[in-house]
Parts: sequence; structure tokens; C-alpha cells
Amino acid sequence: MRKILLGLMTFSLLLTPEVSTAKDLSSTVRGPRASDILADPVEELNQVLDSSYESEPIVVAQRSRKSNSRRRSQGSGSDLINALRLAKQRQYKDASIALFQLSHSPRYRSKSMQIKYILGLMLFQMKMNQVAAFQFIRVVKQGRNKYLKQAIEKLSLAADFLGDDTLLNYAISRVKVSQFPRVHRDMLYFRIGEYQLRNKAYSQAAKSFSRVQSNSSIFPTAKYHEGLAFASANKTKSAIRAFEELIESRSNKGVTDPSRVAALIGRARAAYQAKLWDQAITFYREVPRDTEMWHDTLFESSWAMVRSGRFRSALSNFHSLHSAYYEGFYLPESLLLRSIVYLYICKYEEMDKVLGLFNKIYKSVFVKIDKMLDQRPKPAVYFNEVVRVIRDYKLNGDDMDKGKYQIPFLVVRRILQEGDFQNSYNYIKKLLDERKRIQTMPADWKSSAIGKYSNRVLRTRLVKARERAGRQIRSHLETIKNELFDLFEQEGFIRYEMINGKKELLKKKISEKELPTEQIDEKSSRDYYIQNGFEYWPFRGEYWLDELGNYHYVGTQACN
Amino acid sequence: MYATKICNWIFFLLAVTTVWTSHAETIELPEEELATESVLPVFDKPRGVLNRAVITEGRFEVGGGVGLALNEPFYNPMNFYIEGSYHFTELHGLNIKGLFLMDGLSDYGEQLKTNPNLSPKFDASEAPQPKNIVLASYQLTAFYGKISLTKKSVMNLSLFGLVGAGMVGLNSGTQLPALNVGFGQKFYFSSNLALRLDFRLIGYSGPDPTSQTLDPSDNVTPDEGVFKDEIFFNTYITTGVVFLM
Repeated sequence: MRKILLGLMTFSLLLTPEVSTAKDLSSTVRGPRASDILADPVEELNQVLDSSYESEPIVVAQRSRKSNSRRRSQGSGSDLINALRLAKQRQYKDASIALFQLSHSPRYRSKSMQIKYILGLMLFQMKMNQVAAFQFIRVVKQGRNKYLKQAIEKLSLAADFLGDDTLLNYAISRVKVSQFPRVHRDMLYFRIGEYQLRNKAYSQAAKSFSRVQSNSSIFPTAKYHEGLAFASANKTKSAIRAFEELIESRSNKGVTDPSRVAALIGRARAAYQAKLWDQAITFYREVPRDTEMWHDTLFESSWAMVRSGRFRSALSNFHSLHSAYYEGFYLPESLLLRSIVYLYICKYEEMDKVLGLFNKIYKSVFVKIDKMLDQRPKPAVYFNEVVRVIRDYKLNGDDMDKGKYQIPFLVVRRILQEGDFQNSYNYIKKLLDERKRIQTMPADWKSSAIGKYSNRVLRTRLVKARERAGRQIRSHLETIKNELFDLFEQEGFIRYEMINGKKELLKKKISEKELPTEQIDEKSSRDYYIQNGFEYWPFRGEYWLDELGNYHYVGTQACN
Repeated sequence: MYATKICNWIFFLLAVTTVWTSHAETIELPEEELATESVLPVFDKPRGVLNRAVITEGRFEVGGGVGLALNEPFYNPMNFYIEGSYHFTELHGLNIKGLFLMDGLSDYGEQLKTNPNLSPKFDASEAPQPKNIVLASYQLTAFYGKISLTKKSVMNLSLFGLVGAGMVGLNSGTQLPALNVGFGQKFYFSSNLALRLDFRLIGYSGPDPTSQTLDPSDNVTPDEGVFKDEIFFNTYITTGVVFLM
């Protein structure tokens, strides 16, 4: 028996708990969440999908731009004064037309940085952040000019709005914090922290995040990231402290305040990471049920329960987690964990069913992913497929035919939760918004050189952003494929252990060996008890939304 | 009398079935694991229930029971009925119900006919009276839920609304068009068997017994045509058992 238990412990450790470190919930705190993406208007999703098929002749457009600028640059010397006057009078539209022409005029070559910077400002005011950012980049790239500092600042702001990491990294690499305006310094510290976190400079990242002022609008996000950085550096105590500070700072914002909830779950994860199982369970229970993140606690707290030997409690969680409500969720590890718990309590039949379910669901998922990756489609194909799933889900909900997609629905849902994809998706949405803004501009602006240029910039950025999102999807698919491969291997081990357990049981029965009286989880009494005004009844196969999370496993272990 | 017996039988059945389903485990759970929140989990497409115990979509439902006319002054208010429904979806369905009204007069009708202190007397049985009502109604099941009656078991229930038309058949053989609107509730003992309670308002235009004297001493039954037409709004409450097939 002892040998079996040791063996089982080994197998439970084979499963790498997903919650071993606090997760990057940056997207949960600030960016779009998976549910947000699923809640996007269908028109917008259609736009995301349709516009990816556009491929206008960019080369032709470039030629016309050059010829136009050449023609128009032959104006009088007062052109710049007029353009600046328009800018001062806040006539951004006309100023941008004039400035763009002048920026390409050889007559104003000596003033081109000034013109480009002011043009960038005009576009920035018109909320055309992407096109504006390109002007600022030109100023920054040129280097030695008096507009450099301001251009970096504005570039950071535009990039921050767009959520474009590449632009941000570029801006940050050029900036000196002391030269940056105080009013935007918090944003800069935060972005620097993010950059450091990505590059695994955890202590430095935590320090940068901690510099964000408590009265800043990005303080909650920065504080969360500070905790995350500590957790990544395995400084769990500091992580818990940072999360608790955030919880405290959000105490007057309501129970379901996303920042507070993110801190609650972050604290629980940090406690788990510190192997404080009971504390982690308590922290997980504090996450409010009416929040998106509560779903994660079901599985993560199950791990903590298993680690602390609370098998009955873990099985209670699994009853919710493997209910029909989570059919569209990617949860392969939870099924294996459930089977291990059954193995501990010698419930081999249930175990067999759970392993069967695991194979039934995830073998087909694996096959589909493998097939898609084998076909090596272009990145845009991955992206379009994901958007197609999102759109259909939005239109038809759970009535949609989930089997017809090249990427399985539950995998798409999983990818939507990935921070990098969310950022890309959000960036694409921002670009689409900007393009929409351009489309609503007056005809003279649209037909002007700056109008054509803006369209071209956005079109190119959209194509590139979609490709990047597609590459991210492909990378996640590869990760999932590898993860599933490992899990199938572990499933084989667990199944072997199940057969072994059955064999041992039979052997004992045959030899009529005297058996120990005290069993695992035997201390839990199952006497009459109804507490705190709630009523309990046997589960009859029907799952109710209000019962989710309140199921209690009352079976006993079957080891003899 | 017969109707009362049916009623008793139905209530007996309800009681017995409730006992059958009252086999809840008694459990003791750690305090910290008990529910502390009454809020609902958040899903992007929230659905109240999944894996429903009672599925009605695409199924027929047949049943029968007894009923009572709540505002019937002259005639026996008791009736019995049979009905059948088809559920196109979990929400929408068609219900056809046939009510068979009992013969005789109500207590008040009997008093008006036989009370020696009353003059002239009034025998409503001499007037044409409804004998049966057949109604076809659209049924909208607005709510499907569960209820704990015994604190140890839970039973499913559904609430529905009805609107439709039909015919009221008089004892003279005349058929009169009728409209009805109502609502009802079903308590499911199992996934196939339920107690059904209906409340309906039935409106029709028919002969008004009070438009004639109807003195029993006249020994003359007036012709149906002599009665003036009146619009009646009768309320019926019915209870019975339905089976889902």
C-alpha cells in the first residue's frame, strides 16, 4: 500500500500544476479579456475578418504620392507660415494636408523635423495615433534635433494608446526618464517595468512598477505587475505583500472591482507558489463568484486541495469544473487530476470514466491541431479562423456547430485568454477604429496626399498585425499540441497505475488479508448537517448556474 | 363527488411521489466550504440550467384532471378534462384542452329552484347551458426552475402562459366560439410525470339564463332562441396529472 501511495505521489507530481507561479493577468487588469473579445459586436468581427482579404496595390499608391508631393512642393515660401497658422488655429485637417506636403518638399528640408513633429501632433489631435506615431518615429530616428524629446514623449503616448509593444519598446529604448514630462512619467515607469518583466529582469521590473504613484490611474495595474514580478522572482512573501497592498487600495471600489479580484487571485497563486496550501485555498475562496476570474480558482484551488490531501473538497470542485457549463473550456489537466484523486481513493470505475472522457475530448483536439499545423498555412489563415469562430459564437452562441472549425472551439477560447494574442487583437481593433475615423473624414482630406498616405499606413499595419496575431496563434497551437502530447503520456501512466491498483485490490481480496481500518479522508463525518440557511439535495444530473461551485462530494473512499 | 375523489387521488399521488424523491443524503461539511455568496458565476453566454432533468422540446404531453369554475352561479362548477400538448421548443408549444362540465345545478342554483321562500322560483337547468369546452392555445413556458418542498429534495417546476380560441358546446348542441387566456404551473415528480395547475379566463357570447323567468312551475322549457345573448367571462381552475411522451 505504501508503495502504491508513493507511486501515486510521483504521478501527481508528473502533472505540472499550471498555478505554480502567479500568472500574467495584465490583460485582465487593463486590456481586453477573453469574454470581452467574445462580446465584441459582430459587425466589428466581420470587419476584422473581411478586411484581411483586402490587398490593394500599394506600389501604385506610393508612386502617386511621390508625384503629388513633388507637384505640390513647388509652392510659395509662405507655405510653412500658413501651415503653422492653421495648426495654431487648431484647424488640424487643413494643417495636416499642408504640413504633409511641406514635409516632402526639398525646399523645407532643413525644417523637415519641425514639420514632421507638428504634423504628428496634428494627427495625434485627430486621434490617428498610428499615423501620428510614424511621424514621431521619423523625428526620433533622425536623432539630433530639438524635437527629439517631445517626439519620444508623444510617441510613447501614441504607442501606449495603441498598445503596440514594438513602438513602445522603440520609444523606451530612446527615452531618459528624467527628461520625460512628470505628468506622463508613471506611464513610462510602467512600460519600462513591463519591458523588464518580459526580459526576465524581475527585481528591476518590480522596482519600476513600484515607482508608479498611488494616485495614478495605472497604479492598480502597476501594483499587480509588481506582485507578479516578485512572484516570478520567487519572492512570494513580497508578492503577497504587493497584492495585499493592491487589495487594500481598492477596498472602497466594490467587491468585484477587476483590480481587486486580480490581486486576490494573484495573492492566492503566490501562496500556492510558496506551498502554503491551506492559505492558498483560503485566498482562492475570497475571489468573488460573480467575476470572470472565479472560474480559474475552481481548478487552481483543486490543485491546492490535492496537495494538502483534501480529496473530497477537490472532487467537489471537479463536479463544478466538469459540468456542462465548462464543456467549451480547455481543461485537460483537470481531468487527469481528477482521475488521480480517484486513484487515491480507489474509485477505479470513476477513474476509468474520467480517463475515457479525457481521451474522447482531447484526442480529437490533438488530431485537429496536428492536422492544421501540418498544413503550414499562412499566419493570416490562423487569425481568420479564430475570428470566424469568435464571430459565429457571437451570432449563434452555444448553438453553433463547434466541430466545423479547423481550430477546435475550446482551443480558440484558450488562445483568447493569452495576453499576447489579446494585445494583438486589441491593437487590430484600434487600427480598425482609426481606419474608420479616416473613412469619416471629408473627401478633400481623404483624397489628399496625407489621406492616401494614412490609408496606406493603416492597411500595411493591419496586414502586419494580423500576421503577427496569426503567428502568435500558431505558436500557442504548437504549445498546446506539445502539452497535450505530454498529458497523453501521463494519462498512460495513470491508466497503468489504475490497472495496478485494481490488481492489488484483487490480490488482497483473494488472500483475505487483514486490512487497515483507518482510510484516507475517513475522518470526514457524513452525519446530518444543514448550515447557514442553505439547503442541500442529491445531484440528479441537472446543472444549475446558481449551484455551480456549491457542489459537495459526499462519497467515501473505497480502498480496503 | 367523483371529481372530489379524483382530486384526493391526485393529492395522494403528489404526496407519495414527494416521499419517493425525498432521499437526500445528510452531510456534514467544513464550515469554510459552505456557500457564502448568492451571486451567480459570470459566463459570456449565461444559461440558467444545463442537462435539464425535464426536456420538453419535441415531445408530446398528455394528461387529465379535474377543475372548478370559480364564478359559475347557477350550474355545477365541477368539471373534468383531458388535454394534449406538443412542445415545439422548450419555450413554445400548442395545448389542446377539452373540458367536460358536470351536470346539475350549483348550490345557489339549487336554492333558486327549490327554496320555498322564493317566489317566483328560478330553474336555471331549463336554460341552455355549457356542456363542454374545447380550446386550442399557444403555450409559452416562461420559466423553468426548481423548488425544494421538503428541504431534502428538489422538484422541477415550470410556469407558462396560454392564449387561444375554441368552442363552447351547449347542451342543446349549439357550438359557440370562445377565447381564452390563462397561465399555469407544472410540478415535475420525475422527468415524465407532473402535476399541472391551470387558471383560465374563458370568454364567449351565449344565452343568458336570467333573460327569462324560468319558473319551474310553468312546466315549459323555453326555446334556445328566446334567450338574450350575453358575453360571459368564466374563470376555470384545473388540476391534473400530465405525462410527457
